[in-house]
Amino acid sequence: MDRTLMRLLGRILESDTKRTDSKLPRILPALRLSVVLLCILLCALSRNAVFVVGILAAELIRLAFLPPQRIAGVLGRLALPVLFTLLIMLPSVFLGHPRTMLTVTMKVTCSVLLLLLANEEMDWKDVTGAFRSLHIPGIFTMTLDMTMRFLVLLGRLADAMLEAISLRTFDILKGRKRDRARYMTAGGVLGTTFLVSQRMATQTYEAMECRGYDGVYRSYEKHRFGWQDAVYALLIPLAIAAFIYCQAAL
Amino acid sequence: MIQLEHLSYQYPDGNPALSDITYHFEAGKCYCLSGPNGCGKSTLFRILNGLSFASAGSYLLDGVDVTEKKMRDKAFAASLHRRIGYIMQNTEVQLFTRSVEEEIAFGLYQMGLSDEEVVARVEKYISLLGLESLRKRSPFTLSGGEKKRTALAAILAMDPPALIMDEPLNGLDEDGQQWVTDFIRGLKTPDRLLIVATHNKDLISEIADETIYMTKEHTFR
Repeated sequence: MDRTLMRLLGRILESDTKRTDSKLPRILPALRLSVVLLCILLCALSRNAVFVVGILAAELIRLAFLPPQRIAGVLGRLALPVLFTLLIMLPSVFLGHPRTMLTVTMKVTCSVLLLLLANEEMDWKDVTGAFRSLHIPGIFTMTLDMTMRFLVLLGRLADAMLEAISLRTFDILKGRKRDRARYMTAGGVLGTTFLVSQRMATQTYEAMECRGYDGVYRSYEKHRFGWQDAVYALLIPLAIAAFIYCQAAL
Repeated sequence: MIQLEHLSYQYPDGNPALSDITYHFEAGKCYCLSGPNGCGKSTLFRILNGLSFASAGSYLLDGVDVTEKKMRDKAFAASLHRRIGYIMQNTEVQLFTRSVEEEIAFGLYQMGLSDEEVVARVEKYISLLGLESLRKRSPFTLSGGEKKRTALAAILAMDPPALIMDEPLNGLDEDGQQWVTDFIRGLKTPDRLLIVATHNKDLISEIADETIYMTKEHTFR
């Protein structure tokens, strides 16, 4: 439990201080997210493998601009879903439809790679920022931001409690007694974390009230639409046109 | 500026937190509130900020009675929160937005200021509190001292005539404590009321115009 917690915490904290060391220019998060979702949708709808291969090729080129360590990380995370899909779709080969296996696997590879690349280039602040740019109410994005913040804060608390418990645990119980003790410990940690979360939520709301919060939230950060965003936006009509062309060519 | 008349407060379980407190806090002075843990300092601050309400007695801000009924009126509550800034003991829960600059801008937008005014004030307080390199960072990833500076910037940007600080040196290292002490000293102006709860004798000796000791019986001495 504590290892999982530490890993999750590490990921969230890392994402907050993530530096963009990609050689490609930074794209407006809302635009990036829109293109990713559109490509996933078009890949899923496409009956022409050329379109999916085209998107996959474009994503691989984008991947090549990342530093080697991050490329290895992306490919490592991509391998599991791809292998899993291959395994699931393997019976279709024996049933005389080998193309089905290839098509589905390619679509999965393409979708997962799109998401992994977006994850590499955007942190959670970018994602909530993207929601904001897409005119999703500020209160929704603020709630998302605060949820992430509380996850980290409560994760730290739970981690500290688990460490304190490990310092006082000598593993002398065996069998059922040991299991029962473990469940009770986990229950205690979760219960305390829940109570603290309640208290922190109340205090945060009070802090907001003290600064005049009346239910309306306005964002300070303004995203400017740059030339790189304009170029990137061209991908939307291009992807749609390529999709229509590929379907018509069938 | 703030008048407390026979103010008492009881917790829902009947235990007293404040007992018959009468005091007058004047603008332009710095009051340091000291006393044992659990004597009611934080409860008093909650009442002054309109987060809790007296069981008996009254609390007047600039001659106007602050009651639970009045605080339900959004305009009245907003007016009170513009006049009283509150730095909580645990700044971690006080910072809730996605970046330091957004944190400072939050209260300013709630005050209905124009975009230009908000930007000007954000820049002013980022510079004043030395937060330039932290402006895009999430407040919860900052160190204790940086969080304290962010909270101070967020409250001071609203320019409240009264500032209440609950244990401002809590969780800070020596340098951080010295920085906050110097900063609070610099906040003293002829028209600003400062109320600071602290156990730190050095801070009291450096900033206090008047020191109030709260007893275990929840009264002022």
